[in-house]
Amino acid sequence: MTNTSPVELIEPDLDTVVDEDLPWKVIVWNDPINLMQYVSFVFQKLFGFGKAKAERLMRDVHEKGRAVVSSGTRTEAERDVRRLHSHGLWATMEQDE
Amino acid sequence: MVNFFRKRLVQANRDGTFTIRFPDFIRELLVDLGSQLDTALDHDTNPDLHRLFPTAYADDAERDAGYQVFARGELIDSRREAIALLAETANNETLTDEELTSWMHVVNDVRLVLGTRLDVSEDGHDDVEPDHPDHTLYVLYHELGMILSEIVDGLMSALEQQSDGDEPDDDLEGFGINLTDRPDDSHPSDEN
Repeated sequence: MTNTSPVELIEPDLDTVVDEDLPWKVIVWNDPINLMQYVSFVFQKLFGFGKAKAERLMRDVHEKGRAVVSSGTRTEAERDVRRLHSHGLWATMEQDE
Repeated sequence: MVNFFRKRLVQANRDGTFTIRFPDFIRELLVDLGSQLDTALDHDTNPDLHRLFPTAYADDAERDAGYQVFARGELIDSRREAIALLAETANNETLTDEELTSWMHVVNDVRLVLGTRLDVSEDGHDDVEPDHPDHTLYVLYHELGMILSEIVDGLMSALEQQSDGDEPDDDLEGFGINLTDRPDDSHPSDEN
């Protein structure tokens, strides 16, 4: 990962306020239990991805350890995380920097 | 062990339903495991269940606590609904998409709990000797993996049939427009 943006000094508490507008991304992490075929199916079902895209993301999760599967407002990201959690996938959300 | 995974045990039908060919002992097993999971959910802080309630905000304990307040109840409720629907439909030869999806949830949830309990690793070298105290649980874990795989195969082929089905429909519609655009090309005398 590279960071091409100029170095800026930001007050720590300003950080959390200003950042509310930045998009959140939903990340699925690799885990030793869920079947690859199941993960791929859940991506297709929840996000309407085609088979090829779902499998590519599943492979990213498996091989790179994580993949970003959606992004949006905090509310949207929380909804996606909850849907992934209801399918037993290990999903977290974090804000773009 | 009897190898009952020879032919497709979950078959997607054209009408959107699924034909289920699991033998009775598998159906009974799933109901029993669902019932055990339902009971276990009464104590959702049990460490074996922690994979059922993952962290949403990895770096923000305060926000995660907020997430858990509303998500945990929903996650417990939806799991219990799935268990109930599995129990209701356990002996059916034909299942709807919703019913089969409930089966999938129960099997996967139980697998997650078992995998957590056994602390399985990804390399797949989880086979243990028959005299190992957890041997039965390992066997069960692997069986559940095969059952889940059959269910997901069925649901996936239905999903693909759906998206395949869209295209011929579009073609037919286009064909229909061509015909109505040129009504005079046909033989007028054929019309009454």
